[in-house]
Amino acid sequence: MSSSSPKGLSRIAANRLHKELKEWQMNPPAGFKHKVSDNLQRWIVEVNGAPNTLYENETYYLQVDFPENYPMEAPQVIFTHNPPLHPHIYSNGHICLDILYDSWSPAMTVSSICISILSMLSSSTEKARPVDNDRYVRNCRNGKSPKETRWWFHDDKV
Amino acid sequence: MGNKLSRRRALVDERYTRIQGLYQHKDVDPKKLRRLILNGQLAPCFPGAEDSSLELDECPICFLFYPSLNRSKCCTKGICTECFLQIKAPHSAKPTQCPFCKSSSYVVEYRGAKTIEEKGFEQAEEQKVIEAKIRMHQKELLDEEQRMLQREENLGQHNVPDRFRRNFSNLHGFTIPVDDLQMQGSVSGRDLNMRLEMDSRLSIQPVQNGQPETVSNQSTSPESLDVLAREDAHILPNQVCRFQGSSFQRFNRGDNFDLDLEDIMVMEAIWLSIQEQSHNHENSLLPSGFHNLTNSLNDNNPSGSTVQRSFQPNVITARSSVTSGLAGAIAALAERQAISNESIPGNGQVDINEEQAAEHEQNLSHQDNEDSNRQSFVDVALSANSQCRTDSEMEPNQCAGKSHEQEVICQTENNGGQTLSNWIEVSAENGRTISSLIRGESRGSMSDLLLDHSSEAVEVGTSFSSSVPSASELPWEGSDFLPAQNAESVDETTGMGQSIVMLPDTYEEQMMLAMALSLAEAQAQAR
Repeated sequence: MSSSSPKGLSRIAANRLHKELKEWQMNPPAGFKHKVSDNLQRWIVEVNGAPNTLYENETYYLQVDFPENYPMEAPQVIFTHNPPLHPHIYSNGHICLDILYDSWSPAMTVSSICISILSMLSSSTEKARPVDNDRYVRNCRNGKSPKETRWWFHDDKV
Repeated sequence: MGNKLSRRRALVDERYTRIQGLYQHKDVDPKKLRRLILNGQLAPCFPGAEDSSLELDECPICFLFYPSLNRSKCCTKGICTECFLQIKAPHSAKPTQCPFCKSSSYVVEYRGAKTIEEKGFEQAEEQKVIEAKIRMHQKELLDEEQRMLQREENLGQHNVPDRFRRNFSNLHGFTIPVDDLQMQGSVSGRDLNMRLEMDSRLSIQPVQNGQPETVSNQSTSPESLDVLAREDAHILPNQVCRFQGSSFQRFNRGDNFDLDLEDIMVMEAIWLSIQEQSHNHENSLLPSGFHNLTNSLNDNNPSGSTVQRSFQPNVITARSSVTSGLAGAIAALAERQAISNESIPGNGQVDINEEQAAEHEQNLSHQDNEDSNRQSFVDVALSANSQCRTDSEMEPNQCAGKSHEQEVICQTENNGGQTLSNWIEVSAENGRTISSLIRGESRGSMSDLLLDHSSEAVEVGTSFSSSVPSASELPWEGSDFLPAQNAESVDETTGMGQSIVMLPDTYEEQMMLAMALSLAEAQAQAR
């Protein structure tokens, strides 16, 4: 393990991410692939829709950006490129999922986030954007992070 | 109390009563912290170690290792003092949630390092989790197969040549003539006999394939899987392939590979130790008739000409673990190939599996067919992998002999066998290799079907595990076995006379296959 922390990550964050990555490589969560890169602070993760769900055979990409004081603070997780059509995923890739914001716990890992997101996708019954998609996306036009959004988590079904 | 305190005081090095600088702590009162640590209410601030060792516990937050951790009162999860101080903001108005179980007031206590009992208990728990995981996967597997069979039925079978359909519908494989079974039983002992007979009620189908078997006839009982997953299931190679293709699907390198390597390794270790204890002696139980039989096979079948053999008893090695040997063999092969991709002489393969030394001595005399040995070995072993490539082609009769299970030495009469072309076709069921397999019309129609199936089809042909070693261990002349297994597919083999050999490209893939095999075995054992 390299001792030099990538810029922007605390020592503890870098250490933890190294270990998380190692663990991921040994045991990747089912349906996910980490795209290899030098950047420990930004992971690109390929998501494959689970079989027998609306997203079967579809591939999406998550971008996970880690703050300096990860894991005390949640990473920022968004879909890049073409976000899946889902009632909790906005067309700019932002994801309305409580564990990414208020309910984040430092005991969570990238792997557990991924599993939550896949589970969210898998339990979806319709492929649609959130009702307030347009308004929200307009508000985020200047590159606002979803972590700055005050989310209102109202739906615990999906 | 005073005594106790002073004794504890002596136990904690002064250095560890201060934060080590893991975080930029705000609002931490050093005096208070020191008092808490000296009083034994918080774990000392040991410097976290990067790497694990037996005595150390990992803090699940910072992933560093410590001699001892605090425990949350709600869920007894460990946490190091510095991470705890980060999470539990001292002056926060609202109560802190437990980061592990989310219970509302997060409080920790310190009970010192884990006792041996606690650690043992944790290990037992982990073991249970692994076992449960395996059971769960097995259930998923069954469900998946059932779904697939259903789907196959819905697809309308009249479009599909019987041969193909059989391979699909026969996911649970185990198509053995009853006489065969009885014969095997007498050779292999009561235990096996009973098991097989139990199973025969569930899943035996005559090998004669005049009639397409319907899906609903197929047994999907776990028992049949169980028996099949054991090395002592006596099946024709092609059936082995079929069966294992389906039953071990989750060990694909693809998306279904969600048992983590650690689990696999743990299971493998457990399995090996069990095996060592209980089955050491069994290697010597190879039926004495074995060599004679194999000799007679060689003598009687000098060429590819048709030999009507009324019945050949199956010979069984009593070894209880084939696949661990297999895994070893494959791993060894992988290493070998990593060194030289060019060619692997049959000799080399024979050397791989020490446990089969007895057979090998005999078989070494047949090394002239090295090339086909290698190919068939590869053939069987590697179609299990996700990224197979078409490596080479060969004549069916070269392969036929090599494809035999070590346990299934002999063949049925004309009724049962399927030739190489047929079991190669099993590899075609591996959805990932379809494109390379489309040859001739008979194949095309299957490919169409397969494409429809894609997700499930991928799983059909994935692992041929236990047929692997046999290929290396029984390096007879291929022609020896050709006549015995003939009937059903010959007429359909237009365009299939050339068989296709799969070979995983990379060392990693081969290693993955080896892993998959051993886990599969552990799984079979765990049931």
